[in-house]
Amino acid sequence: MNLSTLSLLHWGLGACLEATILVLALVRKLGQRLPVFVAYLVLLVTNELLMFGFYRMVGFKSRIFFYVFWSIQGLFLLFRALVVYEICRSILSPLDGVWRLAKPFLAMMGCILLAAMLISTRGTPLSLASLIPTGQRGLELIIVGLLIAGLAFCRYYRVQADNYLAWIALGLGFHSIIQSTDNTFLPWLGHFALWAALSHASFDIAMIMWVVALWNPLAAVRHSPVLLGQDEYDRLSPQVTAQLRELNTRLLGMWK
Amino acid sequence: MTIAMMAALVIIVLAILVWLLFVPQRFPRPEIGPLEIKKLLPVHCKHFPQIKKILNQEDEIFLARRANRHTLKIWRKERNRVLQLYVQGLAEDFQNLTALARLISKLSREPRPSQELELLKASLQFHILYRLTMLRLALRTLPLPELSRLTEMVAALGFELELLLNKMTARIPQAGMDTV
Repeated sequence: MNLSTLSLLHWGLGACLEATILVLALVRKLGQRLPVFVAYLVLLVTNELLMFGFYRMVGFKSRIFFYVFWSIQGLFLLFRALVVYEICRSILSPLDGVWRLAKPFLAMMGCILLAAMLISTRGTPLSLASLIPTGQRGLELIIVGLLIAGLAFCRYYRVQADNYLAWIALGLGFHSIIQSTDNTFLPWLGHFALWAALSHASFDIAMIMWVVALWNPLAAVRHSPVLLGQDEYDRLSPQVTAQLRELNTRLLGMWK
Repeated sequence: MTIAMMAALVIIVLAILVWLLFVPQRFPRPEIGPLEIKKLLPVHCKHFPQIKKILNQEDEIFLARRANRHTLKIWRKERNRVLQLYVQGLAEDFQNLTALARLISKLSREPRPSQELELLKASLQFHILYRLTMLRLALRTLPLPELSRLTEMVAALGFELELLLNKMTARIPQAGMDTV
């Protein structure tokens, strides 16, 4: 069975958009900042070319096409999770201590979400048709969970993400939210046309967000904050300490 | 029903993402320069002795005997307003101190998970108590224990920061560090 002209057109447009993002990423030298994201884009474009050739050879409904397609989707999911980690690292790494604090926190969050996913797949029939939606939902939820946890960490320490990073993260989050919801409510959504269209177009919407992210030149790289020199620190520190001590002496006096 | 629930879920998660990514953060002060750190030190909690006097019931009993109802009503309203301003001031003090603590964490090379967790816990406790105190003030009751606890929390955080800064000051000549 072959795909309809409309589906082929959608495929072609998607591939063009992916190629545009890759070109923009290369022009903006994004590889120096987000190498995993650029590798993911390269993989996306290469995949489109190879999959189209493969589709012409074996057809859309063949068993081998099914296995290859879902294996590559698994690889893409892994890459998207790595991009989320890369985005968090990119925002927080200029602050050494905070990033060292965030790493185990994100790892812990990932483990919790993975455990939750494994628990939720318990009792699922051992067939690919049942395991793929459950597994995909779990992994997409891990991506959203890690993204929100990482960004909450940035917010807590008052670190603002650069505009391009924010749009890339939003694209990733949007696609993962739609896909995980789609897989959760699939039995009820089969006949709901609007949702089906949104689910089908979620990756295209994410790609438009990535085009927005890379459309303008990127902001200069943020380096670690310039800390005080020893002279200034030596002058400032006793001053602050003395003020705090004075305040505490007064406060302690109140309780007596 | 399922569709509505699902749509609500997606919208909520997306709203959280957009808020985390795009909504600018509100800072308690316009911008604190490296040598203006004293701007973050608490100022309002110093007035607790005066506030404690305001909460004294004897004043109210005295006024109830001498003044008319209208004057007493105005006095109570003004007292409430002063208390509300004091509690808001305490919240500002606390916010400034947590900003100072986070500034130290941001510039520190050594992560201190237990202290960060303590700070987060204290912030949550403070915010809950703050809301509770404001609610009690709105209900026209006198929240002396809550006010004492809030002032105590600001003082305790100030004390913790003092110890931390003392430790950092002591470490510098030994380690020969040129930065915080």
